[in-house]
Amino acid sequence: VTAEDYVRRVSLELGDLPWRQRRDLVAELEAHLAELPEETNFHERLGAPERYAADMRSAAGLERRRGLVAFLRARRPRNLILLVVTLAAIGLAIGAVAWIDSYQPIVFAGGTQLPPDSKPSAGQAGATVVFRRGRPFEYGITIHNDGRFTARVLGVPRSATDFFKARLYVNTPSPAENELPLERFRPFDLHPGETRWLVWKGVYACTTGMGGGGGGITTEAIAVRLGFLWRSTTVLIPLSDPLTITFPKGCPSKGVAPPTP
Amino acid sequence: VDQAQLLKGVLELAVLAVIARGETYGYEILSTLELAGLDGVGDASVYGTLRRLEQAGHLTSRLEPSESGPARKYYVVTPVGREELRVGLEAWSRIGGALGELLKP
Repeated sequence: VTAEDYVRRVSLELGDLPWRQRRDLVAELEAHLAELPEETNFHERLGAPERYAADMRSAAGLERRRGLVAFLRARRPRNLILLVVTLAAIGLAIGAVAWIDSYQPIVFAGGTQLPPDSKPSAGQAGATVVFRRGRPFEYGITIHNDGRFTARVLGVPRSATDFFKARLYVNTPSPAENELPLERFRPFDLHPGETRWLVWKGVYACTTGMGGGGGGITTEAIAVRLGFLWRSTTVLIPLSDPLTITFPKGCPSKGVAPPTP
Repeated sequence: VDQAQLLKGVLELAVLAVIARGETYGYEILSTLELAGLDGVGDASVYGTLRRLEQAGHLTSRLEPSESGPARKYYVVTPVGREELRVGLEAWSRIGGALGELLKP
């Protein structure tokens, strides 16, 4: 056995002792082995490493330590700190990712541009309008970045219950949020505190697949495609003034030609 | 009853006595004990005893860097250790005297 081997095996036997204590004992053993004459057989002179460790324990009154506290104290403090720092960094990273994944700063800002001829809904918030195929349709809402970080508005997906064919516009940023120089929608950054209009301009159309007959559809939320850092997701923005559209004559889906008046 | 067994009880006293002669280190202490005829103590027991004496405040130590190898740990006896040694030696001479009487043929 080399001195290194011997020391390592003794050190292993003392693995339960506080790190500094073990380091001192091991250092002293190293120094001792270095003092011994070159040709010394460590096993013959000192006995087996396990034996050596046991003898030293009993002479020094070092009992075997067990439990979590002993385990932690036996670690090298530097390694413990490294471990704690690493775990904290991992925790922070997980927290950051979770936060980024759930960040949704866009809210309805309260402004609604109602379609022409709409009336306040009876008995509930919002407005109601009667569906008239082919007639002009215009509808707008304001969205606002309520958060502390810029989010990107990537688009507004069509919904299965859309009852119009329209192009989407957005107002150019201006100091007065209600001014409306509109331009065709393209993805834009919505900065913290910023408000923008999203406006649909088009015509009433039957895209809903609703059959003939009455009924109505209430739009209570707008889906918006949101981009934030590496993530893009669709978020639903609830409207406090939902728009209800009624279909007195129904609205058969495409392919089933409605009776022309 | 072998010598190692007998020595266990008085090893602390023997180690203290060696260090009381002047600052010294582990290997030198072992050699002194051996030269004095106290062989077979076991290196581990001597180092363990040094540890215990230091913990009890009977010894202090300092590390001396060595050119040829690991640093050496030098020990000196503290005043508390000297008092311990005096009391121990008194006890030892009483025991020794009594044993001497008992073991007379």
